[in-house]
Amino acid sequence: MSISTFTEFNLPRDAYTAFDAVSMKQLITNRLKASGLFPDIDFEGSNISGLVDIIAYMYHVNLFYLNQTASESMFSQAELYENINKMVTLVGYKPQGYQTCLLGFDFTVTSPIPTGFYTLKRFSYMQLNGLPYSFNDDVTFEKTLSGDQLITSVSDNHTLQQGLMKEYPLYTAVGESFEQLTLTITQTTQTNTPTYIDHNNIYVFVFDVNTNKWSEWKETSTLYGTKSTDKVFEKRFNESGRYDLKFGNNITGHKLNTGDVVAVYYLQSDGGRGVVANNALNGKNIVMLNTTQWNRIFNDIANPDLNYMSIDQVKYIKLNNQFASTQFTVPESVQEIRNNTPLLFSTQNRTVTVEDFTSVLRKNFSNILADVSVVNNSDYTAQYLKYFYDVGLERPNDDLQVLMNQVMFTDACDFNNVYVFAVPKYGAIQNDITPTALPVSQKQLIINKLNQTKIINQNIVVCDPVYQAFGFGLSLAGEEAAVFIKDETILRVYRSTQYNTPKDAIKSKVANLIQSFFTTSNNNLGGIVNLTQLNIDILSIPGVAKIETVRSGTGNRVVPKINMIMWNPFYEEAAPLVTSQNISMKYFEFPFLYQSSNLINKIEVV
Amino acid sequence: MAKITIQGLPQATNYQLPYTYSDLHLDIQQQYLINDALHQQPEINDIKVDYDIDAVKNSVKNIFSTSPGNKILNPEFGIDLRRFLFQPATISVGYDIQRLIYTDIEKFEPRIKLIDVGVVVDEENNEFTVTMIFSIPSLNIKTISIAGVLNGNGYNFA
Repeated sequence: MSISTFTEFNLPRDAYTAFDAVSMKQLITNRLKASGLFPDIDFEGSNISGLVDIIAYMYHVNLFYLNQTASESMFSQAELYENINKMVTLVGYKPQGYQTCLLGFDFTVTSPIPTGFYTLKRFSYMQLNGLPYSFNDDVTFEKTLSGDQLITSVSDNHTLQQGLMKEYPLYTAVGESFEQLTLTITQTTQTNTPTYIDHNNIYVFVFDVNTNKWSEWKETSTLYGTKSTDKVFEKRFNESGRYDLKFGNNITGHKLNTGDVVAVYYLQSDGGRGVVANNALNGKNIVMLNTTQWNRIFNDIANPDLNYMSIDQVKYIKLNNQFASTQFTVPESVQEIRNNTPLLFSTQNRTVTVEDFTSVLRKNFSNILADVSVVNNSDYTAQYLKYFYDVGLERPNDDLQVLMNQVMFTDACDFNNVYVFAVPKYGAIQNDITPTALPVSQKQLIINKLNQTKIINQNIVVCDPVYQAFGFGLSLAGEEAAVFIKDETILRVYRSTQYNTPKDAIKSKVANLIQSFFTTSNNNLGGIVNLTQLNIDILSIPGVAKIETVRSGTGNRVVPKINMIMWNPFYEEAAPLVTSQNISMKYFEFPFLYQSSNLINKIEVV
Repeated sequence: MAKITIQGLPQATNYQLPYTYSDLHLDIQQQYLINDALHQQPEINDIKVDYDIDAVKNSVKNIFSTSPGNKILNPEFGIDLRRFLFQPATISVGYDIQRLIYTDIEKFEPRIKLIDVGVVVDEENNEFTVTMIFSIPSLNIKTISIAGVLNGNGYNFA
């Protein structure tokens, strides 16, 4: 590495990197002692010693910053968000910004509305105790019954977005190639009314000076690959946490004309405050966005063939949400960008391999998905469908979720299916005992996204995992395993005589540990339920001397470790697995702790 | 810590210096390196240096005015007189100061041999006058004294 040396000291050219403050002080001391001019350098109290300390320490600090600056210029070591965000522009990666809460809903049109086709205008919203939820697209439906009618096609294909559509000040285009508009809205969490722009809801409308008409410009993942006439823009969450909107040059993407007026609508989210519980939509009225600018734009972009609902008609729409909203999601972190960038780059904006699908889903749906696994048709039939035969069904479609996913998302031809098993990020387990599936509307979001990058003949099917319940369970000798043993089995924890930790405190720590072990975020589809590690972790709790799984009731048996039962709560008659060994789940299986809130009553400390 | 071996470093010149100890004079000032009429030319001026007894005095003063933690590369260095900052000027505290100086001064300044430490308490002005008498055997100096006042402004040498 070093090709030359310092002429005077015969040091390698890169020797400076080897010094720290102490070794630098030593070097200076040696040099001064060698010169003989300052023999006092050896005495810590001398002025010269203090001066040398300062010089050596300054050198150390400067070298630290030099090192840090050098590290920050490398993708693998950068720690500052601004740096990594800027770096990944080189490979066209677009970091994810804030993602607002999403809400599935039931859409009922009541009897005063006669049969026919209707369209609810986009950006309509409702207020849920001060929290707005908005439609981000036009909702077209057909009412076929004269009475009240639940329109499932709407609830299956649309999702409410937390927040209100805001108008960004109008921008007059300069007319240059690749014109860029940066939304100078500071997103902050520091005030009482935080401002967040939802990453997935930025809409652009342009008033063309030549035609005197507004038109909608669509977002594209990259301008390269679009035609010169395509009215598209590219969006990027930049290093300052603001959005850059980039338009074309009449070669790749249409160019803005000089004097064109750009109107940007963005969804302003309430962040974490926007989460709502189930049934929050009951009785709330839909309000249509009604601003002068929006009405003018909508007059130009409205489809003349559609029958848009009036303000009077909208009040006859009733909404309800069976499930709570998803959570608010913060922007990708430095580490997430570092992990996702090479994966996304390798997909080349195409989803072909399992890794491609997984990468795209993890990046784009981190707000709604806890985990995904992707398989082809042969793996699906060989393991997933076989599982339902194994649990005793005559055919897999006897399972309601399997049937529904088949009906909703598949066609007559199955060999080209790509099956996506998705675990919802929040509320995977309702009421401690019932696993819940991803709402259809969110499955549709996934399909819509993958349809942009998939191979033309692929068919995406979003499936629900098989949730396997876990609880303490111990079989008697010769007994056939059955689910009821979970009710007769407890975990007994022996308190160490060397500790005087209260028993309740130990019980609470053990319960928290087991609950955390089975938390959705700590598990994976096809992962390993590592009961060995769980044993070790419990025994590592201060005050725990030993543990036993104890069966009582119809018989008595004790084993000196955690013994668990795993079963499918929908098919309790199917043979459960009772074991103290690690359990390897299949790609479609996901573990959860049955009656998690009651766990503390299943633990005894003696 | 990196171990640096420096080859080609010039060896100490083996000649007799006209002094035993030398230290930088603070604040840094210029002076003639060889201070006689013959050599007083602008080309040979250099920073001012304290020799022998003045160099040792520098060291003792620095020990008194440094609190542990102040010297980054030797955080244990210094006499912790700051601990007496908010204490009343009493004979009892005076003894504590005296004991502290006895304990620490020779540890940080091995060139001196402490003979006596006198602490006079001025209760009215809430300050202590500290007089330290020591010898410097390597310079063959039998007794030398340094006096200073410790008060709310720190330790100030007379």
